[in-house]
Amino acid sequence: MIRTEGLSKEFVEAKGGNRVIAVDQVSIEAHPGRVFCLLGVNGAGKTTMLRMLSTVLKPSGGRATVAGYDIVTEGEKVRASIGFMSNSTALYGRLTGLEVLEYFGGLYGLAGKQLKDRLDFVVNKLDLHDFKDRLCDKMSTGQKQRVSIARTILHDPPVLFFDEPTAGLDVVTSQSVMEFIESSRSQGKTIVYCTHIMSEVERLCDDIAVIHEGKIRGLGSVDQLKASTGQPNLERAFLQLVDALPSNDKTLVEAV
Amino acid sequence: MKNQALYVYKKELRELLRDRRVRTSAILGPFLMVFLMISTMGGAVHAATQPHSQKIHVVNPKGDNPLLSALKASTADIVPVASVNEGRKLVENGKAAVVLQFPDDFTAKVSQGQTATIKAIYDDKSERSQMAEHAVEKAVDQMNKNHIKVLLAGASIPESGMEQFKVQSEDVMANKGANELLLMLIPYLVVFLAFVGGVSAASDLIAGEKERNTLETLLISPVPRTKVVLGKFFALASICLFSSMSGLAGILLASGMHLPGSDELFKNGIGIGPATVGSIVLVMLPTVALFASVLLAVSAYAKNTREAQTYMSLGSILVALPSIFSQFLGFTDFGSSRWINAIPVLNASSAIRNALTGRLDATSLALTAGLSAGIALIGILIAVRLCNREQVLLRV
Repeated sequence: MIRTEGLSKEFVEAKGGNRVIAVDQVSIEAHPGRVFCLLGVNGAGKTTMLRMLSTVLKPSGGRATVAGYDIVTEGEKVRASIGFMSNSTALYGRLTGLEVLEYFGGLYGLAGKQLKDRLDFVVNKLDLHDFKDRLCDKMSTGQKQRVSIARTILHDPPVLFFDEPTAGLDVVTSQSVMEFIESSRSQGKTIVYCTHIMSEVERLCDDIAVIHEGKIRGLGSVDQLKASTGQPNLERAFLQLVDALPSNDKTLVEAV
Repeated sequence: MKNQALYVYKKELRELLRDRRVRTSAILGPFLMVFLMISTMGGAVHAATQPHSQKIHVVNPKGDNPLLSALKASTADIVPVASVNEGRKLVENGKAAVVLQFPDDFTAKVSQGQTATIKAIYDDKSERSQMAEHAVEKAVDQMNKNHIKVLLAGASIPESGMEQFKVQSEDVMANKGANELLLMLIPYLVVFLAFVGGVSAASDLIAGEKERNTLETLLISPVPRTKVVLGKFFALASICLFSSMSGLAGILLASGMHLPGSDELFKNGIGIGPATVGSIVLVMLPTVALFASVLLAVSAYAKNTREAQTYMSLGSILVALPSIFSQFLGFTDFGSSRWINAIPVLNASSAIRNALTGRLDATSLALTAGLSAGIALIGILIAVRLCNREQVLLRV
């Protein structure tokens, strides 16, 4: 479970010293067995939110807990409880897939039989047999993404973060990523999913937070967002929430 | 979770050793570079010391010249030149090593026992020309000595009268310590290569991870950043040590092999035994720690590998200067001064020089190691601090 209360992040620009509020008083809850989506345009504050929740960035204000641990005072426990995956597979090119997994297994405290069992599990689950001993630099994008997923779940974390995991992927690989997320949800994981792709949101997400300029503009399920905005689909609901709906459309909606 | 730094160390070392750039710059490169350097120097010395016919240009040579006869006897070829000006041009253009001009009354003066001045035109900036001029002076000296012997014999004075005073030197370091050439090269090369060999690896370790987006994944793991930095630090220190020792191995191998010129360069052997090598390693351990920590801090600060390598290239000048200066320590009294121990890098070169001459004392070693280790600790703390800052991810 993830809970944030008034979570904020302010950056000071290196040149000029201007203050930029990247995340502004965000309060959300994400629950086990559900996919919580942070939906927003580029620069909306989605990645900053995930970075704060994964303890890489310190919040400027508010508080948050991840898997019951405070992100400021219990950073190490938070990090041990999460798996993080982005569109960049973040693999080491000069290591084989198996070496990458062994390395991260070690970092997450897995060793001996426990490590071997988890390696067997992820290799079988993600069908890495054919290329696990290949250098990551020599793998196809799809293969890299599967190893990256394996790395994310190797230590069996209760919380999973996905930051635009399908960006730049072909349809087939994107499909397998989404299937994996669906299966993780069915296993009771708490999942936070950042994206700006509406079709993925409609397919995967149970709860959605529309984030824009660091602020939450709308919160609820797809149906709730459509109903609250009076729009026929999620895309238009989103556009209205982020003030990007063409003005004549807005007038039309108001007239209806 | 105890061995997380060890996991990072093993992974980094494995990855670095699989990188062709690192293998080339830290292992193969230093070894080949010094091996070729020693071989080339040996080859040059060998060529210079081999008996070969040397061309001596002479302005209008005449047949009955005793000096020319002596030079011919020492395998010199006499090449006639029409005028002094032509000879001067030949020397200036490098086409002649030395041009001799004999006075017109040379033979008459010699026969009358008067001093006959021979003009030697040469180029002091050309080693070949210097050697030819030296050969002429040597021949003239020998002729003078022969002349005095004849005079002494005529006056019934023994030949020992030629030398009223004589110095008998005793080299207390004869057959002790390293060879003179190695004494100049090793303190410089071993220290400098430790730094240079680490540049490629260092820029990859943190700046490279930023660039490849792998750093965020690593920082999201539950490993404390101090352990991440320590693992990377030890991997980099290993690479720096490999580079340094690879250079030393190249020097020792090239010196120990009987290559052309080895006999001239290493008349009394190389004079380096296992104990000396052990002392060098002992001096280098805190030095590579210093280099690794500084390089790692730079890598953590830099936005990307390119920026990191720019800073490191500038840093290599700071390392090169004191290590080059160490080559000239032998010409000064500084080598035995305590203040040398207070200058990073120079203290290591000086300690290695002392180890090579068998004069490494515990105090110098302790001061050098202590200072290097202290700076290494500061470097590690800076790297940890930089890695704990948000900018480590955001400054890209």
